[in-house]
Amino acid sequence: MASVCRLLTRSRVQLPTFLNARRFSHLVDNPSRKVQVYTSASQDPWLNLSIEHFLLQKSPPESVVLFLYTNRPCVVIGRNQNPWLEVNLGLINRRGLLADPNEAVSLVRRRSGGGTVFHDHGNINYSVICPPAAFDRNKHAEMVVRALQNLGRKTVRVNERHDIVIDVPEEAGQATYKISGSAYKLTRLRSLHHGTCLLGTPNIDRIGQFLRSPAAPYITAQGVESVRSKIKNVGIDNSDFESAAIAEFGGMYGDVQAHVISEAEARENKDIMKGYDEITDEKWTFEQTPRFIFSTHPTERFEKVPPPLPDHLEDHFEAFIEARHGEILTGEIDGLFPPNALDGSHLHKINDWRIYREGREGEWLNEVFGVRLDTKA
Amino acid sequence: MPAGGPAVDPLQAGPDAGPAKQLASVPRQGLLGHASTYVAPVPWLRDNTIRRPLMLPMPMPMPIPVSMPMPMLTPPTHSAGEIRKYTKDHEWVDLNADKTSGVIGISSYAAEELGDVVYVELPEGDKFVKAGDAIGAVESVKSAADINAPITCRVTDVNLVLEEKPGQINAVPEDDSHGGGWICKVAVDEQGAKDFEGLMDADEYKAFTGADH
Repeated sequence: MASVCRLLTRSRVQLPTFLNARRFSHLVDNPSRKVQVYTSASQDPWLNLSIEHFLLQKSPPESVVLFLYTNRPCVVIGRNQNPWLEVNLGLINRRGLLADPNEAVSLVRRRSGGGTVFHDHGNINYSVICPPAAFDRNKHAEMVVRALQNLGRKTVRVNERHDIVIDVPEEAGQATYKISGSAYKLTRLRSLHHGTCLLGTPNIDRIGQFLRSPAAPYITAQGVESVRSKIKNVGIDNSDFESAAIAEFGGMYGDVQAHVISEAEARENKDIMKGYDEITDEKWTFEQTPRFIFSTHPTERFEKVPPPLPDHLEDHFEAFIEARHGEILTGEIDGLFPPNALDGSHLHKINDWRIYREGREGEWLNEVFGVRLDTKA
Repeated sequence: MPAGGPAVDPLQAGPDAGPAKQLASVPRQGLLGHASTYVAPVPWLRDNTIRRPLMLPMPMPMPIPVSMPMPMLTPPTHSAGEIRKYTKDHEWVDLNADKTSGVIGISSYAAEELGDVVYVELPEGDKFVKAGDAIGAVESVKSAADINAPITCRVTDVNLVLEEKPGQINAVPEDDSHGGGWICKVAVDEQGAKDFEGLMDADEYKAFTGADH
């Protein structure tokens, strides 16, 4: 953290807040600033993604930008993913199982593509924004690989999925672990590549539990499904990684002074807050979900064979729910009255399935959909 | 362009994570009939208390009406009067002879560059957009790429086939017929027709993609 603190002190110029906001905004859109480097002092995942989106939209078309940030614990799903399929929502709503029990885990949907990842203080996110003509999925993953190699991790490399992995000799032979995942966003004028880098999360053994949904075996979905990988901490201090990444970026494009974006600076920026309001809205988090079917039994439209239901449920219990953009198009549950009671409801707004199906079956639905049981909160 | 692997993505899972095991299951006799003869519930039968799956036609996914076509417009045809032009952002647009309606899609060049498309975010129906506005997005190889409106227009119809078959964007990106990879149909006003004039024809676009990339 030493370097971050140093940068913070350096950038703390006492200006009236509105001037400060303008100053930051001008730093970003100034056409003469062809190379820009920022770090964020905030750990709010939505704010950091919104700062990133602002940089993508407002930095000069020909510029290259590096932005580094760390988030408090959160599960981040890709733009076209399904939270009910990818995430253990129940665990998140029960505040999770983190190393520090006082911490909550947020569910965040980002604007870029790709799969689901877990972030916390032991994970640094890097993003590089450049003109689309220069876009290459591996170029900046290679930059991070060089930074890690300079820090002594000689066996890291970019794999065929554009992820960064580390090869580790083990008793049974060499094992490969993912340490960083990539995702991209391409707009008319700019391209963005961002990636995670697992440096030293204390939650390494718990991450998998957040990324396993009890509803997954009963869901077939359009959109993007995550690919599971074995992960490992690379065991590097956050500030060392930051300095090394900034140095590699400087080697490619020219050294510049990093600007630390303060939380206040970001929150005073109207464009950033517009993006923030968009992605903190539950409409974005849940209703951006591509069409999917949840079914307890195989049907002609549900080609998967789901596992048998728990023994304590009634033998004839069946449920078939089809949703598009989080809205239920068809909701068929054994015992549902009136039969169309669920149609048009939004799945994420259902806080207790026992309203629709009494008894253990309703409880089971609460469990698999991971509802926020207000009464038990 | 790096070769596209399966375009789904990065997930950090616990060290013990492996491919989820599909548990064997025995289809059961249930309320809605035996699993093998189960027919998806059909909305128009919902008020009916008696389910008679055997009397139903083939269970088809119900199309979701995204918008009603404008009654005053003739639907775009594939007549010889139609002209196709391209943008620098690699979208194509067909404009009908009387310059009132068009069809939009992404070019073969762009489809190839994107790699395997795994999801298409279709435009919102009945939405008025200006040239250059993002109207939708496609996802391929972990990348969400905006689809931009080539001209000022109003979206009247979207290609729902792409919801089920996003790969049609790769297979037939410039096909504007049923089952093709077209994105949406649009109503065009004077401004749209003017925007259209500024776009590249097929030869110019070919030269552009050859020279610029």
